[in-house]
Amino acid sequence: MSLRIHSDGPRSRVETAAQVRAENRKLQARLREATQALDAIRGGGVDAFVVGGPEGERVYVLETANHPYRRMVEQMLQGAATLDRGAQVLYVNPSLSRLTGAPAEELVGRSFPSLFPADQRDVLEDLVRRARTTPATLESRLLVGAVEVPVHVAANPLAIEGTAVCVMITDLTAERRSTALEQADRRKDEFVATLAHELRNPLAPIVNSASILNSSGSSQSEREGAGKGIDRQARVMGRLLDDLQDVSRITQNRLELRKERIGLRTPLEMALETSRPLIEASGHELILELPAEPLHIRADAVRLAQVFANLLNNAAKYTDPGGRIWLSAMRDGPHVLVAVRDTGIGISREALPRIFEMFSQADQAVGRSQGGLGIGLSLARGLVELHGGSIEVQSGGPGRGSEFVVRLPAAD
Amino acid sequence: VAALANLKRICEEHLQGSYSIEVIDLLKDPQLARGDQIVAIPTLVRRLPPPIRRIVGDLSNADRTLVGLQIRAGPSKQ
Repeated sequence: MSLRIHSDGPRSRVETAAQVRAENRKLQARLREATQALDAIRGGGVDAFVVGGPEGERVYVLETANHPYRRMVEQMLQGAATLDRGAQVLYVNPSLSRLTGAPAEELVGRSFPSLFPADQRDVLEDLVRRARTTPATLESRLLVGAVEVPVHVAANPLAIEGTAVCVMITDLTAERRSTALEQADRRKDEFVATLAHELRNPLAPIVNSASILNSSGSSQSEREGAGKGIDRQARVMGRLLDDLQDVSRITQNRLELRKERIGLRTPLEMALETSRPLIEASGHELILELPAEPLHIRADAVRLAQVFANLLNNAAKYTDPGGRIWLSAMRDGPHVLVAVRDTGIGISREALPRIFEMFSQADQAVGRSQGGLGIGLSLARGLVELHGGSIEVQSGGPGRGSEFVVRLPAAD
Repeated sequence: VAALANLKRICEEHLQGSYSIEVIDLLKDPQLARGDQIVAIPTLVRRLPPPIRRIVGDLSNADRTLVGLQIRAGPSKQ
């Protein structure tokens, strides 16, 4: 490659001294330019040369000129690849190799959609086809061995020398995880708000009752009523705090059961004792369907009573006044089943899978006056699982009632 | 691209808006190089005021660029 400086060549005519001086200045300027051009080439400031030839000017690009771009593609965090018209991989950058866990030489030559699970290949093929003319993006899952990784895929036209499309692949795992964390965080915030609300509720009647007790003008019956009111509200608060404490014990694996062989009737009767006031206050009809023969289980009666009471209280809270609630028990092979069914507001199909999650009530039932922290079912499931059992829910949908079934190992 | 960024910075600092830059992609139109006697890329061609001056390279040295454009007086052999 040669650097050619055009010159007008030496003049043959006799010129005046002034003309010679002017010419000299011009040539000096040329020389200065040429020297500076050489310095720029030596200093790496030149990317390409234009060389005149019989077929016109041609541009020769120095390999070093592309270095920053190539380094950028090779060092960026996103996976990048170029594809031919048939969506075959021509090049992959180190990030894409790392992401797929396959070396570049294994990826080159493969069909690009084959890097994705079978059910994604059609949309990927379509994406590459569209990207031959217009940029296109989608979210999909990349195959990494047998595992699937959530990714964002952006594809652009890149029509140079056999290449048709370039694609950029971004791993969304971290982003998805932080979204999940954000959701959990939001649920916790909502829970704290509900908790504050629920703990504040009993305070107003307690304060009222206290002022009745303190007032010299209160009658004996007013004082008795106030005393009972304080007692009732304090118990409500106590139950809330107990539930809260138990849930945290279960999630931290610190809850210990005192299991012994007991008749199923024991925890059922304890639960009924707890829940009957609420059921009756709501005007519900309670229907018991208990077998005549005794059913035995190995269990912590107090904890199981908590489970059944939670289910009965839920049934009472989420059933409009005057509804019906069934409590039934039966033997089913090696198991004992306890079911609580109601004619209540039911549970939507979308809410069913999450109904046992902590705080899930806070999401969907805010604004209902039923109260509660939304931890009762989470607590129930935790306790049942500690007994080696399981709990299931069924509902025909909103307005069609719900049924919770607890399954426990029978002890013969 | 580096040259253009450097040029814009230098022009903004020293010419305060009284300039216009035309970018010619010689990869697309190499024949345009002939008119300005360009042999290397990038080359800055100062058309106005005359005489035409050419500065080759990425213009990373601001002082040398300013001298080349004769915006600032530099060491002269004459």
